[in-house]
Amino acid sequence: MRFDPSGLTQAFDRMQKAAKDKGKNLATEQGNFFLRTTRKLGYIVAPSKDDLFAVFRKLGGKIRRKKGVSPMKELMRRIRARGTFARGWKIDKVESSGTRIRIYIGNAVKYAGIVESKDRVASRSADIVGAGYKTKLQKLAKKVTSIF
Amino acid sequence: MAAATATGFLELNIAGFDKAISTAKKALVALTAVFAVFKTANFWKEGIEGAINFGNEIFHASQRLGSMDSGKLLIAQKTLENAGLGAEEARTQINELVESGRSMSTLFKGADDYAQALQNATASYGSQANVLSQSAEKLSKVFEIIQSVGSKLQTFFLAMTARFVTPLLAVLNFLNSIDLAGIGASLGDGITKAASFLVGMVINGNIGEILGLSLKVGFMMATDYLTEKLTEIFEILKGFKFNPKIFNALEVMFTGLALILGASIRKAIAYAMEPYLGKEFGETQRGIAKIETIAGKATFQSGVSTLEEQGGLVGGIGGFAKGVNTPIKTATAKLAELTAAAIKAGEDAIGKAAGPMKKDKIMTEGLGAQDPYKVIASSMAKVGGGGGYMVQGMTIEARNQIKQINAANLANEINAKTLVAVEKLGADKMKP
Repeated sequence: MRFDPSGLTQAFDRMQKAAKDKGKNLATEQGNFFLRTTRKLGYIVAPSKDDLFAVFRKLGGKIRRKKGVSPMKELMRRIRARGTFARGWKIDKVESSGTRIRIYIGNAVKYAGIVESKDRVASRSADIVGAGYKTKLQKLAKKVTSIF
Repeated sequence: MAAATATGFLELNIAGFDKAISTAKKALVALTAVFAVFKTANFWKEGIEGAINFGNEIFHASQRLGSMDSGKLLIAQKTLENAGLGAEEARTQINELVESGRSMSTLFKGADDYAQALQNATASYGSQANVLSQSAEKLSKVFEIIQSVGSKLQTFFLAMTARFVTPLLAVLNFLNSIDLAGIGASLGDGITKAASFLVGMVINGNIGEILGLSLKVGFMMATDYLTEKLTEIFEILKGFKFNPKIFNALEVMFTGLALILGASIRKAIAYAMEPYLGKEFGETQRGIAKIETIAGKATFQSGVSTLEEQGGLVGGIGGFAKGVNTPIKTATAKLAELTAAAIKAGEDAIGKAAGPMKKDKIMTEGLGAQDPYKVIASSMAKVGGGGGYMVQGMTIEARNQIKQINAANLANEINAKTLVAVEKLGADKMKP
């Protein structure tokens, strides 16, 4: 009795392809999640409208501004620009080495470095995303190994 | 693009994912091995069961036809089939022939056609007929005993099937799958269960146990367990009024058969797993299988020798086992040899056939020179049963006596015609 292993090979190939595709999808999904979380945390650490008003009142309206711009106008600009730091986060590059994938993000907004060093937004975001990753990976493995 | 003033990174490790895939692959290989084992074991089981059932059926058919020799019955039926009748029609014709006491030649257009048909049937089924002549009754007994103690064997196969039905289903579907959607539609929950089993096995980490069970089924259960169960059956058989030496020999023979069976399974697995586990694995396993086969054949032969000494079932179960283990080319040559030997055996074979035939002879001798049919017909007429020996009102005993006489005559006629056919077509052609 000679056993034909072609069916098994096909099954392995199918599983391998599913692993590759779904693995790539998971990495993309996690990368986007990382970015969204970082932005969300960035928005949270930004000063609120009330905080800005409080500082404005404390300084008696004497805030640094461009020539010809009134203090109130500068305050309103600052309120509008609250999300700038959060929105500034972008994915810079994705590196893959062995079984490890690194997703790098960067923020080109002025003073972003100062805010990040003070609040460690990206680092906290990586911790949050990493915590749920293992569960997601297990679910994915379940999907892939049961693909047939 | 301006340089980033703040940066961060996320690291994802997919080692666990790769491990899960790798484990699933190993699981599949193991399950495929189980599948291969199951298929092989089933092939053997069905083959042996089929032979025993066939022997049982033809024995009872021949009993219904007045204790006619089973081998002769097979030849007669196949001769009729060769002459152009369907299988069912052939059986009906034989039944009627025995009931009426007509000559065999009345079934055929001419002597030449009959000779040719008989020649063809003997060439194709002579070997089987020979086996049946010697062993149909014993096969029938084995069948009956297995029926009575068969629940043990059934439990064995059921337990094995139940244990592996889920992964087997998965592997079976896997191997046969081309269209996933189609399979999903036709099997639905089965696949889900199978997949769940695999995943569960991966998560629980009991792959080792599964592999162990696979090995148990493959190399232990199919050989040791089966041997153990067969030994149990033989122990029960010993309780019957048979020659215990025959059953001791059968036990040895089946131990040999189990070794051969195990070797076949090992060989099948070696071929199946070679693409995944390497050539070295395949060669090693095949080497072991070869040694097991040699050992099995030697053990088997030892049992056969004892059986031959005791006049046991060599032509029956032993013959079947020999047959299935013989390569096609050798089997073809052996068949021709056995066919020629069976035909040349001639009247001796009929003489050795069955007990009832001897009783018939004594009975007819007791009638002297008178035609037994006429004597019975006359007797029936005297008691008011009518002049014909097939008239209604004849006792069952008388009818059976006639059937037995007719069956004996038919067997003699077949034998005589066989010799005529051989002479007509040339004895040289019958040599292997």
